[in-house]
Amino acid sequence: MALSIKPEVLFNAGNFEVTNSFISYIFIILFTSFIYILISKKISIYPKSKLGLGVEIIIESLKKTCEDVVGTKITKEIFTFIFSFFVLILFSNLFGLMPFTGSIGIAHPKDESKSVSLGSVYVIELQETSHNEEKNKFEIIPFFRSPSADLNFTVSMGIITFLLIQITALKHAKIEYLKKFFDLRVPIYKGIKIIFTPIMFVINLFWRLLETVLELSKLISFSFRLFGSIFAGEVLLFVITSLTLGIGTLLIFPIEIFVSFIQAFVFIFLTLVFIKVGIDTHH
Amino acid sequence: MEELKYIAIALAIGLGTLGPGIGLGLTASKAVEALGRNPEVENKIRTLMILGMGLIEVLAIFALVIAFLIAFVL
Repeated sequence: MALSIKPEVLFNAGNFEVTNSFISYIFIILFTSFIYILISKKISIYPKSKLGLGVEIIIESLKKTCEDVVGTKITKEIFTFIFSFFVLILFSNLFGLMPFTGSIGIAHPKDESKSVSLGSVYVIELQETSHNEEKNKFEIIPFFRSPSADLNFTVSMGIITFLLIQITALKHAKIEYLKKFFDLRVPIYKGIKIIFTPIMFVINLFWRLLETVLELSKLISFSFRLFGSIFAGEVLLFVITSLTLGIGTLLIFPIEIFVSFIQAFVFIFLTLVFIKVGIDTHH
Repeated sequence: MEELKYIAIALAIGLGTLGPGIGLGLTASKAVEALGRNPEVENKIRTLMILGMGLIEVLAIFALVIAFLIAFVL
């Protein structure tokens, strides 16, 4: 495995570059759909199977968190979205920790000028062409890569979440929410002279501008938080493995699983908090 | 130039984690303090602490992304 921020392109379908993270994403979608269908077939008022009970516990606890933050009314509207995002992000994070991810792939000649590859590459030869010494001149393009370690995935997640926050806040706070960004009226207080009105106007303008920037920065922080922590985890695992021959990896793996859960939870929890903040604008 | 690149990576991640480290320590210590005062709201404190830590952690992750960019892209 060579470290790269860009996902590797496996093949081209017309103008569309099929990357390894895209293929992993399709696998995750199929897997989660399969689980959903399996559970929905067996659904009953009193859960009978262990799987049904476990899923019910997760849904109930997430729903309780959701109701604590935004209230019952809005929970009914957005809970489907919140839960499916939680599952999708959790599975994409955990997919990066699977044994086959990033280690099995196509070998191709190494680009010596910008190589940072550590560890060794085992090449299964389909044709008896390369000699033993030449095997170190190859690097691997893996078939699978965690979607969360691809910036395209996390940015699209961030954009959808950002739109959800804006639309929900607009729907419930209506004109009050827009006033937060576009209200340029200067408040008139007693005791402040009329000469200061232009200064107040400039301050007000600057304040509204800052509010807009603050709103847009949510998009960046959402996407880079997920990408940064998961990609850093993969790099950490890679470096530790090549330094300690796999013993240190045993210590890092539980931390990485914990981080996967925390990041998925933080993503949806921040969505809920930002929705709450957007609705409660009374100034 | 190659040596300077390594120094830049180390400085980016080293200085970048300094502030968030202090922030995370303060968050955890205040959360434990609050827990000592009123242990009955443990769940609420934990969720809020994780939220705050998530917000602080982004800063360190930004520095990390910059370090990655210098290491792998530039």
